Amino acid sequence: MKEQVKVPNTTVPIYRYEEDGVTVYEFDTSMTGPPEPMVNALSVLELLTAPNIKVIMINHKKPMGLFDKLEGKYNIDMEELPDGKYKIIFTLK
Amino acid sequence: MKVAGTLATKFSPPFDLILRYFVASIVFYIIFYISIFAHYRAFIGYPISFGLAFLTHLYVLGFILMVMFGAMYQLIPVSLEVPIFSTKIAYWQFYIYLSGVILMVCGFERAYTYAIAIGASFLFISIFMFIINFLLSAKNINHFNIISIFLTTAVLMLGIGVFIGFLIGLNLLFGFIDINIEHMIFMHAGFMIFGFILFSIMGISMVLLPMFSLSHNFSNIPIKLSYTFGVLGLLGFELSFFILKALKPIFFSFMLLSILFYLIQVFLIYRGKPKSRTDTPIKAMFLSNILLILSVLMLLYSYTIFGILMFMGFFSFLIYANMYKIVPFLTWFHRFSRLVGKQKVPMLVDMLPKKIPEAQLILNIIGLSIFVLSVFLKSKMLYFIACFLMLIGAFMFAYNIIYVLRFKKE
Repeated sequence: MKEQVKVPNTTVPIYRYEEDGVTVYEFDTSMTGPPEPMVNALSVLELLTAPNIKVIMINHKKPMGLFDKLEGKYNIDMEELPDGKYKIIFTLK
Repeated sequence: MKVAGTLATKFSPPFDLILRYFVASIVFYIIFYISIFAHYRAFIGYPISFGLAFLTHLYVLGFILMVMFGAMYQLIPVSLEVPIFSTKIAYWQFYIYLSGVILMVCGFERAYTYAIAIGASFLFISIFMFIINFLLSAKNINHFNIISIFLTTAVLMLGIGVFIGFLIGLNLLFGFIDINIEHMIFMHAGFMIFGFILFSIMGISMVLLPMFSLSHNFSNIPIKLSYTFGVLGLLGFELSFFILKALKPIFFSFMLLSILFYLIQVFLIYRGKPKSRTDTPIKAMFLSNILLILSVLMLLYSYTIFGILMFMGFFSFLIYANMYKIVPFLTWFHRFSRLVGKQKVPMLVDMLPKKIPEAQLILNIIGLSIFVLSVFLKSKMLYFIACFLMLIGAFMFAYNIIYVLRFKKE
């Protein structure tokens, strides 16, 4: 079950739920313009501290500026959704 | 279509490079609105004169092209996904270009042909530095899309337009070619206004409009048609000064169709944006296109009013709107991006003064309307009222940008 959690410095709702023994933090920045997707992602990624945690971000575009900032710290999987938005999944390397 | 999601990537050039171009453009913008008081006659007489050439070059070279070079250096890495070939060339280009603008506009103001010719040489060198820098950056593009095709074409058109302008400048001094000066000026203006400025706007809009309005899932067929008709129309129109003269109206219609398809593309982007996604700069970005429509319609009536609505209207409002988005973002990225995730950082909306950008845009649209009316009615009093309103608008614009640049977290 999804529950909303408070994460410092974020500007969109952040949800937490369990899935196959993995804790998922999920948020949607598809209705925010730059730099909010980056601000939210970097704040939520602070919670990605163990292999059994993943962060899911929904954005209207590929957040290239964010990827540059992460400097290869995380595994990143990305898929384009039917509505043209992007789902980006971060896990610890 | 695939659109960029940010204004800055790892390939972005130094902030102070872009800032040089933006700050210089605002200085020239204010000088323009101070100078305009003394040039009432330039707008009511024959459209080719030293007075109008002074104002046109001060505005186009000093304000519009200066902003565009700064924006292009920021957007080439974002939209083409390649680094700038040489930022050193970009710095040198700035100083040579600045010298060229000063010499040329002073030359036109004083009707001093030596200064015009030397200024034209400086501008020619500096703009070719930009073209070479762009092309050497673009050769690393892996996949050409409609944005990179637009921008590359615009830069090639700039090369032709500047070369013709350079010939006009030298010919004023030496008179070495027996040419029809009016034809040359039309060709120069065609390549510069349609070929470079409009093509760049069309390409850059395909990056910035969806990025700021969050529009997605729109077709890009209209912009491809716009490109095809634009290139065929412009090249045919320019050639029709020498050959195929009878086809000139057809080529000109192609150019109009290019603008029409661009407007349809803007509409599709507008339709694809979330309803909640709107603020003053975004509204201004979309609404400025009304001025483009009005200016093109005015071609049937008066070249001067066409020029006023195109330069002081469409181009300017597009620049205001984009500057109100780009400058806060670049300042934010430079000053606050490293603090993200560590502490609370301001959002872009916090970095612009409240209400003043909106007031500036309203004041400028009122000023512009009175200005057009003053030229239409040949009223000196209305002209001065309009100039005064737009001068205040210019100072407000400068204030807003300075406010953003000096913004520090409370």
